[in-house]
Amino acid sequence: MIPGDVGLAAERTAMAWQRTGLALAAVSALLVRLAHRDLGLAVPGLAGFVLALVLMALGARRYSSIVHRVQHDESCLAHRLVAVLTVGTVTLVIGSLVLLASLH
Amino acid sequence: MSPARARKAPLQEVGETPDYRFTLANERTFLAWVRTSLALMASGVAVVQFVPVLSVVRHVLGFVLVGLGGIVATVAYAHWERNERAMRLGEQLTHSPVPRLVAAALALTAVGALGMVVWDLVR
Repeated sequence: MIPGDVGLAAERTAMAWQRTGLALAAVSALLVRLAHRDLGLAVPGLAGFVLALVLMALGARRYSSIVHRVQHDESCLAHRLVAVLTVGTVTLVIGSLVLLASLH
Repeated sequence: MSPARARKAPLQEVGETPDYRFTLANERTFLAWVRTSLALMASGVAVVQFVPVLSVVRHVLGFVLVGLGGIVATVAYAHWERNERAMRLGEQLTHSPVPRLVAAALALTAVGALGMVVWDLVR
């Protein structure tokens, strides 16, 4: 294994997490905007925001986690992170459908 | 979903740990699909808000797009898990028709929405 390779792949992966967190934040902002100040309807968007922040923080940690694990010959599989993001996205979809249904 | 697979064993313990670059590439692919799902959600919301047709048509289209976003996110996870499992067991990665289907659905929807907007402008 060429030293320094890990860092590049780790960087790309961490950046991918951050891009995804940003996209999630943008969609959440749209959903909050759509709620037109109704706090109940704004819940999906606000929850999406929180998830986006969590993802961006975890993504930042992902870099060092990957480098550490690969250097110690361990698997860098992030099963829980992937599962959390999947559940969060599907929940956001359901929340969006509810929001759309309740808009006149 | 073959019942012959050891679903009880956590993914981390299946087979052998593959080259980390493959695991990470699989992860980035999953993330790209999630971003696609989010874009579908946003476009569904936008259609309901902005496309100038009957309320019913707008809402149906919007629901379909958002629903498609949910399906894409679920499929993304399934593919991620399937690919990692295949890599760990030294099997071939299977091809999926989903990317092509999603692209086709998106293209159709975009053409439809564009048509409605143009028709509204012209009449």
